[in-house]
Amino acid sequence: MANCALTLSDEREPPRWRDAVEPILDLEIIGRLERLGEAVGGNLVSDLSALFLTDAAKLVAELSEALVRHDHATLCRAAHTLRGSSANFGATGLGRVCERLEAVGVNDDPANVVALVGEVGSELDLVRAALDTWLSTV
Amino acid sequence: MRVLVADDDETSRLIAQAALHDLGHECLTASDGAEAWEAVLSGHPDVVISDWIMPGLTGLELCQRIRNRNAGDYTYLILLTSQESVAQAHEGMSAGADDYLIKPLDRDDLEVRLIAAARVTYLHSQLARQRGELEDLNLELITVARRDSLTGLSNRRALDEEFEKLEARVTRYGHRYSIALMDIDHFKSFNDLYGHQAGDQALREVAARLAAATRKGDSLYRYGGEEFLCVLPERARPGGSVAVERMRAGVEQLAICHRGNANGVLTISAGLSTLDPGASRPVDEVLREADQALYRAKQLGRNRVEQMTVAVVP
Repeated sequence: MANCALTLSDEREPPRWRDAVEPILDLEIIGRLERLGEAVGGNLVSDLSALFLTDAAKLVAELSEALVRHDHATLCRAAHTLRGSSANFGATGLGRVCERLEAVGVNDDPANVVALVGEVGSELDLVRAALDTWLSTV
Repeated sequence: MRVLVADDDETSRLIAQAALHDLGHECLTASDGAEAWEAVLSGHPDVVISDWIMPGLTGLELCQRIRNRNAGDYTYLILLTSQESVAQAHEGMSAGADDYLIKPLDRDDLEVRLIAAARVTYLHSQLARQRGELEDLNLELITVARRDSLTGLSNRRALDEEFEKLEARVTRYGHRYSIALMDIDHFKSFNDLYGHQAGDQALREVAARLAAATRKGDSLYRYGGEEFLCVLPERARPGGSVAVERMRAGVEQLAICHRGNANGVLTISAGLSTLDPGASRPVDEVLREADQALYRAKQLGRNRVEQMTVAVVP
């Protein structure tokens, strides 16, 4: 919440900060995956998180490229894919941002789209950090 | 059950795979719609869990293809939709999906849905089995309906169908047929003297002897009560009469005692007529001629073969 004041002062953008009700990682979902992993025998959560982070990084790169090329279709598709895999993994906050990005129209304010893509990137960083913490504690 | 998971997102696939293994199901995976369709055709999954949006073929298109394929085995379809898309679920179910699951996929949720899937696929397999049995039964009925239960010979219904084919072959290919109508002599008195059970037994023995005397290609029918009919293909009159004479003699040689008959044993009379391609007469007329010839055989003292002596059209 440290950057609240900063964002509020920006007049071009509506106030934006991490919504307190959207967790970075839904621990209930991660817990379920953890139990599932125990049941099938294997490091399901660590395998999944490695996979998820690699894919997510690729998709964020795709988003940036699509932004540069003004490729609306690719932008929406990549946002959709990332939203789906975030939801599966319990990355609820990231999923919500992707959902907003997926919904942007062709004629939406480019600044808004740029901001959303940026937000996806920073949200992914938060997820990565949260996952590292989770995996180091388990 | 064998479950196919179609999702372009590897994370989702891995979670679904783990959940399915945990629930004791076999899991196939496909990373896009086209791959999923291939897997449906080659892997015959019982259940397909498909993502809504996939490259190549969407979940909806996959759904429609599976439903339009008309295969014997039923594929249970579960569509994966996003939380807010009740409209998607509606569209998917209308296109033939059996159920839908909301992302993220949850193991317990999946378990519950697969209970319904197992029930429905079991019912469909039962239905398919029963349909197969019904088809077999129908085939059997078709055979039974064309066979005389007492003698085991083909019956009148089978003959009517054979006559249709016969007429077509005569007009189209110029084939020639002889038709022999045979009747047991004084059969009513046989029944009166020895009873109906003995009458039935005599019918069976006569039928068996006639059948034994036919050549390959000849077809024998029980035409009525004590009447038999034989269709002899490609037999000109002399050839036909030789064959029928053999049948008559065969019955006489059975030596079934018949006090009501002149020579003391059961005999038959026969009338023969020919279905000539040149004459192009309807089967009915040829049949009438055979009947007239049979009448004459009876008139001339029974236990003999008579044939129509009308001029043969070249």
